[in-house]
Amino acid sequence: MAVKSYKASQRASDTAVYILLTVLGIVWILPLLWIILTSFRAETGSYTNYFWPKGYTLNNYANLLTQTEPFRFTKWFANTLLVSVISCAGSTFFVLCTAFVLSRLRFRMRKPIMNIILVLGMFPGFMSMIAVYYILKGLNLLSSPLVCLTLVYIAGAGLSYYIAKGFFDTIPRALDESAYLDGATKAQIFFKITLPLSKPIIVYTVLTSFIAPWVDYIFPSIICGSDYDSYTVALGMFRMLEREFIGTFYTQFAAGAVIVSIPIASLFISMQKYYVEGVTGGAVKG
Amino acid sequence: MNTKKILSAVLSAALSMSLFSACTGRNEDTSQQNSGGASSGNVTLTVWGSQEDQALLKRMCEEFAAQSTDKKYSFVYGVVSEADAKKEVLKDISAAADVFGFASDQTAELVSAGALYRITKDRDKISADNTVASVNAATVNDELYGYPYVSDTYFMYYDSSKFTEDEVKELEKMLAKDIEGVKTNFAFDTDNGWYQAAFFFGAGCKLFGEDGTDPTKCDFNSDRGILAGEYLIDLVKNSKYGVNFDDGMVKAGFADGTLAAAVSGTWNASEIEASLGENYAAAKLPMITLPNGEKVQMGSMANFKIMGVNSETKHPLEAMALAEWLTNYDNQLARFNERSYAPTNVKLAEDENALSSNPAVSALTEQSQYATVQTSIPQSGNFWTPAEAFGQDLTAGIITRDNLKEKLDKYVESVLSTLNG
Repeated sequence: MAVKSYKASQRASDTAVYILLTVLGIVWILPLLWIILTSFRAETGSYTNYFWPKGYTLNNYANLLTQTEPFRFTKWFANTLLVSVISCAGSTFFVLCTAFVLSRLRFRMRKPIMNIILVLGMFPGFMSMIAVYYILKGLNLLSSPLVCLTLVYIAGAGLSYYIAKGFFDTIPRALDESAYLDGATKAQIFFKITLPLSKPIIVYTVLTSFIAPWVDYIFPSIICGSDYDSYTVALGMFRMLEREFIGTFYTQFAAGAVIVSIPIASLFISMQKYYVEGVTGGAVKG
Repeated sequence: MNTKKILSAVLSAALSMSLFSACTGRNEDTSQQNSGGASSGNVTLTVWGSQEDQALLKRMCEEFAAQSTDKKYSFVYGVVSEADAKKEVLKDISAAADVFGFASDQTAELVSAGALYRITKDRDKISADNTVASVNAATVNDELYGYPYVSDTYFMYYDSSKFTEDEVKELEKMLAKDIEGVKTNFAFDTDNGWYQAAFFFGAGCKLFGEDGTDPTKCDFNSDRGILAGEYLIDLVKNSKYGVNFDDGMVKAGFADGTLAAAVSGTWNASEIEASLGENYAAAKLPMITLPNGEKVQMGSMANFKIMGVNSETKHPLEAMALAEWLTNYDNQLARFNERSYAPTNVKLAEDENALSSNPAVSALTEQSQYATVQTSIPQSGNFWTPAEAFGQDLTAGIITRDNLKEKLDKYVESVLSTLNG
C-alpha cells in the first residue's frame, strides 16, 4: 500500500473542491446567461428548444425603450427610479435615527419599544396591504399612486433598525461623552461624530432600502390599480407575461429584466466592500 | 418593506382627522370615478378594458358620446383586463369603474359581493340578441347582471400541408399518420384542467350537474368517465401525442415544423398564422373513438367576456346605455374585425360569410356548440388542482386500467370536497 504524500492528498481535495465550485458556478450563472441571450434573441416567442439564439438583435432593447403602446417601459422605469430614490433617502434617514436613539439614549420606554418592534417585525408587511389601501383612500391620496408608494416604503422603515443599532453599539461611548463635555448637542453627535464613523452601515442601509422598493410587486399591484401611467417596472413587466402578450413581448421582457438589473448591479459592485463590512460589523453585537 | 404597522397607526390617526375635514377637490382626470358634474347634462364615466383593447375601447366610447344628443359624456379609461376584473373590483367597489368587462367565471362571485348592477333596461332585447349560453353565463337566479360580448373557448390549429380537412375530423386518423419531419401529430395540455375536461365532456360527463351550478355533483368517475380515463391512458402512451404542450411549446413547435396540430385559443392565432403561412388552418376539436368503439365529439370549456355595470355607479342609466352600446352588433363586429374576438351576438355568430374570413374564429364558433360553459360557482375553484394532479399522474404512468376507478373516485372526491366558510 502506497502512502499518499500530504501534497498529493491536498491536491486531490483541492481538485474535488474546484470541480464542485465550477459546477455550482455554472448552475448559478446559466439562468443569467440565458436571460441575457434571450434579450438579444432575434426570434420572438417564449419557448425555444435550443439554447443559443439563431440570430442576434438590439431591437428588443430599442423597441422596449421607444414604444409607448402597449407598454410604457421608460415611463415605468422613471417612476420606479423616482420612488426608489426618494424612499431610499427617507428610509435610510429613519433607520439611522431609530438605531441611534435606541443605541445611545436611555429612556423609560426604550425596552418596551424595542419589544414592540420585535413583535411587529414578525408579521409580514403585505398582511396590512388592504388596510394600507383604505387608509390611503381615506386620505384621498390614491389619485397619485407614486406618492402613496413612497409613503408606504418610508413609513415602516424604522422597524428594520437592528443591524444599524448593532453597529452603533460598537462605537465607543467615550467619543460621545467627550463631545458632550465640549458642549455638543445630541444632534451634533449624531451628524458629526456617529455618522462619519459609520460609512459601512450607511452604505448597507442605502442598498437594502433602495432594493426593497425597486423590486417590490405586491404594494404597487394593490395601489396602482388601473392607473397605467403610474405603474412601476415590476408591475408593468408582469403585464408583458399575460397570455396575449407573452409571445410577442417575451424577448423584450428579457431585455427589460436586464435593464432593471443594471442599477442594482452597479450599486452593489461599487459598494460591495462596505456592504460586507456593514453586515459583519453590525452583527458583532446585536 | 418590512412592516407597515407603524404606518397604519400613524395614518389611521390622520385618516380620522381627514374624516372631519371636508373632502378637498379631486383631480378630475385621475380621480377614480363618479366625478361627473351635478347637472344632468354632463356625465363622466370610468371604463376599464384590457391593455390590448384600449384604442378600440376609446373609439367605441367616443362614438357613443357622439351619437348621444341629450348629454355630454366624458370618459376616464383604466387598464384592467377581463381576467383581473374580479380582483380589482372587489378590492374596492366604490373605486372601480362604472363599466368594466369581466370573464364569465367571475359572475357568481361578483354578484354575491354585490358589485354588479342588475340589468333591467332592454333586458329582453339583450337576451334575444346574444346566444343562450352567453346570456346564461351572465345570469344568476334569473336576474341578468351583464352584457355578453365575446365568446371564448379552445379549438384546434393545424398545418394544412400535413393534414387534410378530412383527417382532422378524427383524432385516431391524425395520430395514425406518419408525417416526415413531424415529431408530434397532436399537441394538448393534458394536465391543465381547462383543456383536460374536453375528454370527459366528450364522453358525456358533467361537472357540477346538468347546468353546472350544483356543487354536489361531478360524474367524472361514472362509467362514461372511466371510458374517457381509459382513452387518456392509451393516448398519453402514444409517442405522436404531445402530452404537455403549453402555449410556448405549441408556438415553437409550429415555428420549426415539428408539430402538425395543437389545441389552443385565439390569443395565439396571429403568431401561429405567421409561422404556418398559407398552411395555416383551424378546425373544431376532432372526434375520438372511446374504448367501447363509440365515436364522440370532444367537448371544451367555454368562457364569455361580459360587460358589467358597477352597482355603486352614480349614473346607472348612462352606464347601462354605454355597456349596451359597447356590446351591440356593430361593436362586436368591430371587435371581430380588429381583435379577432368571437362574437356572442346571434346574428353575427350565425353569419358564416363574415366569420369565414378568420379561420380561428370560425373554428371557435363551430366548437362552441359542443362546449360546456365554465361554471362560476365558488366550488369550481376546487376543480383545477385535482385535475392537474390527475393529468400529472396520467403522464407519469401512475394511472393504469387497474387503479383508474380508484383514482377517478379520488379526483371527484377532491372536486366535491366542501368549501369551508
